[in-house]
Amino acid sequence: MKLFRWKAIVPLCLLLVLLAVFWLFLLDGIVRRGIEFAGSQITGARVDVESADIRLLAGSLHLHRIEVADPEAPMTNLIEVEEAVADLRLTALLQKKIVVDTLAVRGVRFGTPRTESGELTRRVESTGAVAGRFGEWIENLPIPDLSLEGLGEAVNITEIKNDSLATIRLARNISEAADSTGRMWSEQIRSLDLQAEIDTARVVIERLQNLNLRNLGLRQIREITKTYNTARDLTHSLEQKRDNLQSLRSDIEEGIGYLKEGISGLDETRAADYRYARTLLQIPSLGAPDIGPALFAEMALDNLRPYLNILDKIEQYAPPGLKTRQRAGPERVRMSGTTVHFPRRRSYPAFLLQFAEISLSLGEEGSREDYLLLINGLNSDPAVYGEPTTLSLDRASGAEGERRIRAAAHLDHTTPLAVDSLTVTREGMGMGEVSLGSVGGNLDLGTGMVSLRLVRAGERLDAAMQWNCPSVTWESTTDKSGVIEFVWRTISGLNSVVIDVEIAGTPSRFDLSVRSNVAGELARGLESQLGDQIRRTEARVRSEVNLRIESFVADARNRAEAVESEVEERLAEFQRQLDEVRAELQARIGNLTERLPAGIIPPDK
Amino acid sequence: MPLLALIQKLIKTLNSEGTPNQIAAGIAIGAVVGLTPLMSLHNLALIALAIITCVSIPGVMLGWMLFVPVGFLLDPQFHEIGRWLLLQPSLAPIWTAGYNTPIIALTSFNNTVVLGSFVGWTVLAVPIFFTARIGVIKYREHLYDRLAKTKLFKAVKTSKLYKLYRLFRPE
Repeated sequence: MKLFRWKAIVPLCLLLVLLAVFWLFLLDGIVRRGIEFAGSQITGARVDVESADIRLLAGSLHLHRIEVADPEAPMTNLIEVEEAVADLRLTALLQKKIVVDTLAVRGVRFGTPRTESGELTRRVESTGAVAGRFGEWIENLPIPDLSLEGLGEAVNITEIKNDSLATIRLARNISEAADSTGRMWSEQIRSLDLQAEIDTARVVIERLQNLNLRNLGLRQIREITKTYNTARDLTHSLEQKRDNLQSLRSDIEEGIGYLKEGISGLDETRAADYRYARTLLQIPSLGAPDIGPALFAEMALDNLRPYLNILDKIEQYAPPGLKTRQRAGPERVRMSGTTVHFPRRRSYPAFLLQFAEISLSLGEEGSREDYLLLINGLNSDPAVYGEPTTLSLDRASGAEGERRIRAAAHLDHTTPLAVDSLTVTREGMGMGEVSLGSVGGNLDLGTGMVSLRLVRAGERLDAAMQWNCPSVTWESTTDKSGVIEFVWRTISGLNSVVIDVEIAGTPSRFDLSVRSNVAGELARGLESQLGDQIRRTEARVRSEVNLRIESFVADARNRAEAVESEVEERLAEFQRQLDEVRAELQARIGNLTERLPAGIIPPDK
Repeated sequence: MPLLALIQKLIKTLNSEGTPNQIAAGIAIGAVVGLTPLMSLHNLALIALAIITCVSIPGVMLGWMLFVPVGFLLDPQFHEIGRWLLLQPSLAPIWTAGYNTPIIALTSFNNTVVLGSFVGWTVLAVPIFFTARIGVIKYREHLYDRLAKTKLFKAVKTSKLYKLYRLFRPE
């Protein structure tokens, strides 16, 4: 039987050529759909490409009219690109990797309207997913509230409930712990059986004392030997008991340490209860460091949020290090599974954009300005590529005018510790409006300059933003009277506003600081009007909290001290008695040994 | 249509022989197309192998048809097998080398379902071959004569399906 069908070789080749031609014919569509799918995965909204034209021999890819829908506003495009031309490296395609040597993009516009919704009808698990560390972090930043309502009114201290005071809870816990550990220690001391041992030792001492050493008959010698052996065994037993007592003593001292720690923690929780009660009664802090965040933190975080989301995206798609990575497999009729990527040094990253020059058109319709975005080394495997990614954005040469945006980014994920730095400056542009709900008005920041400097190193993030608005306007939205009217008069006299925001820390611990001349003025105004009143109210609040917690605190202290002194006393007493009987027993044994002729007392084993 | 005609002619030309071994080998090779995701490089290579060797092409088609539902059914298990293999630290150098080697990277063996199903087929290929071989022999010995007398068989014999069935007919 023949193994090969030699006559099938030619038809097979013909079939393969036909398949290749068929594939090439469909390749443009495959690339277009691939870009649309990958794009929607990243953005979480529809990405439409009008046409893709791939020329394998020339190694180039032309994309026409790319529309990326805004996931937050599906009838608007986040970005619209007229044309993109990429030079691809063909050898990388054989490794199923995309290496773009150069990319030229022109006609980029933002916020253009769409004819149909960009909402995705089908989403896979990872669609629009963001690692979200910094995004979540910022969502959870607590922003203090500034409420001037109720100022000057009688303080309703019944709002303060015992159940809500942490000091009471802690004091109760300490009292219970003191009782239960006291009982446990008593039981442990009893289980050592010290008193019985001491009593036995005293009886043996008496027997040693009453021994008749003059007439040494056989019976007396047996009696002396027996008593001696008992005394010697008892000495060892007493030493053992003393060691056990020492061990228990150190355990008890440790437990007492915990109780004392709890007692000293009561002062901290008392301070926390003061703060809690203060917030409950909505007494505003008069310090500018507290007022600043209440007024402007929300606005600052709104401005910072997109940049943090970008950091999260970059971390998700260009993670640091050379670890294997798992991503959802390709969409197909069969189960997609998971595709595992195995990056290796001295190879191509899965995606690399060596250099891109992107022409952008920014601004309102009719007053658009041309900008140039340059990207170097954007890639999916920074540790493989080995060079940081840099981006810079500035006005195209020749453009003039007051309005200007400048941005620069340096993203270094080549080592396991990702270090990103980003600076953005916007000048001569509308800075937006800030709602000052607590004082019943709006602040229009007018045109000015805002700058952002953001550095992230691993888990740590440092961000600083500054608004410099030389010509602001104030708009009152409510009728005002009393304190609020005074406050409004004070701050609305300001023509210029400077806001400095700093956020620093890690997701588990951070500091938010907002300084502003508005906050300073507001603090001074409130202090002059309400300082004494607020301080009096704060004193009342503290006194009310003290009144509620004092009995619990005193009870906790007393119980802890009682347990400590009682246990200490018992331990000391047992220690004293043990030492006493042991010393006496040893003395009697010594005395007996000296007085008896040699050979009667058996040698120690 | 010319393409279809060409494929039909190719199949007709290539399948003048149909021993149990050839059919069983065809079914075993067809199983890989059914068990693993269709658009994979290894499927193209194995189909080309089936064409140039003397295995039964209709056997390949039959194996494919039989194992497509099995593939869908076993996808979760293939995923687990593939995942286990791909995440074994001791095998990482092999996967890393394959992932970064031209052509090999196009096999998509770094996908859990592709790798798991291919490994599954590798393990099952020999049992499939022998089971199919025994099945064809037994069928030709015991079932063919009885089936040939039924009305349904006669009706089918006149249809195009019979072309496929003919391969199982005793020599």
